[in-house]
Amino acid sequence: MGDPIRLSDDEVESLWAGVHIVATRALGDPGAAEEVAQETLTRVLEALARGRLRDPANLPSFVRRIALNVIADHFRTKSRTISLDAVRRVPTAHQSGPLHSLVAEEERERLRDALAELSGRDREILRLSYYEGLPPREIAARLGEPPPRIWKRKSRALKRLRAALAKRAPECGQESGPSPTLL
Amino acid sequence: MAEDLTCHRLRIAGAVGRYVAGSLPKAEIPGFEEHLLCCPGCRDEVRIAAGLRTVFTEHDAEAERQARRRLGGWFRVVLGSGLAAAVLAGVLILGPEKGREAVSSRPPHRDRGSSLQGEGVAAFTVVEPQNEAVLPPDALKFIWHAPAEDAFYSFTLTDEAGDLVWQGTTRDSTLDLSTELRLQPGRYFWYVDARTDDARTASTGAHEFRVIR
Repeated sequence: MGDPIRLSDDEVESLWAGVHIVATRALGDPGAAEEVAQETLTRVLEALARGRLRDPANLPSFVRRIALNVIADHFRTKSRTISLDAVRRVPTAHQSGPLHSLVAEEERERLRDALAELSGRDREILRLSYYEGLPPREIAARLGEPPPRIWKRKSRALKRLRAALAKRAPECGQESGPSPTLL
Repeated sequence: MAEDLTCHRLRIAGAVGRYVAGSLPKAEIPGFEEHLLCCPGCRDEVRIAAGLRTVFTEHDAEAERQARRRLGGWFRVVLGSGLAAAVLAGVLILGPEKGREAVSSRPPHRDRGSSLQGEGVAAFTVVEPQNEAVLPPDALKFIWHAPAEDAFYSFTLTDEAGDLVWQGTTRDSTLDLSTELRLQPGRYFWYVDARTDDARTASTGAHEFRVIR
């Protein structure tokens, strides 16, 4: 048997951010998603220290499985106290969706400004991609343009939106939002 | 953990948008989420997608609120013109019922639509049903000319008393309500308001049709 797998701080931070997205999508509750992310990383690091994962290539699926277990535990705990208000907030296809909380209002404002500077065609591509959830092939068919042009336009528009979001970003250059505190 | 061929493949498939919109097939979610755990670039795109989704949702909600306000204003205008016509003709016009939106006994008409202004803009008119068409109760298909490529539509259907029967938004210039609605025999009115991404607006004007058994 070899040495246990050790993760760098960057790797832990990356995993935490990924688990946070997965948990936010599953729970729709940013506070609960943070708890899940912290508990998941705690369990992952304990499991790695005990040598329960031998092949680093399997780390993503290993972490995701643990995250899903923690999310399931969370549902079991909370299911006894779920309120009708929470039920009414269940998102439908045309509401913002459970990932709404990933972006703060101030960042959304910057996105709105950046969107307003794009061409109508580029805004339509972004709407069809991220609001309607259509793959580029379908967007291309709908707009009558070849798929490579759709990829190119989307990529260019995304670059501008990324730049808008990066304005006044935290100095560390990491993703905004909560950071892991357990480590 | 940097961007790799997986990123490229996922982007070509539009996986981020489908994941955020909830349309990514269930079988593809594990692989996608495992990739997210390792890829800052795709996580970044998920955050942008989530933010855009909220922005677009708010935009649509605001468009719907404006459409509703216009609907209310439209009834008030119709009531006003109906009363004026009644005075001139010496005909009694009934007032609105208590607790209901202001309604004229003469059904609302907005025969003339308005067009978007600008280059490359087609006229915003209805295709079918044409004014005063007669329809069976189970064939409610509405078609209008798309005035611009990026137009977003708010469709409104009312009964002859002006009460809202159905309202919704769409990006298509066709709306088939045959499976959703079965109208009682009577007179109905419909109109479509269009709004483009650069905030130009237009309306088809109200069109009347009758439903028979």
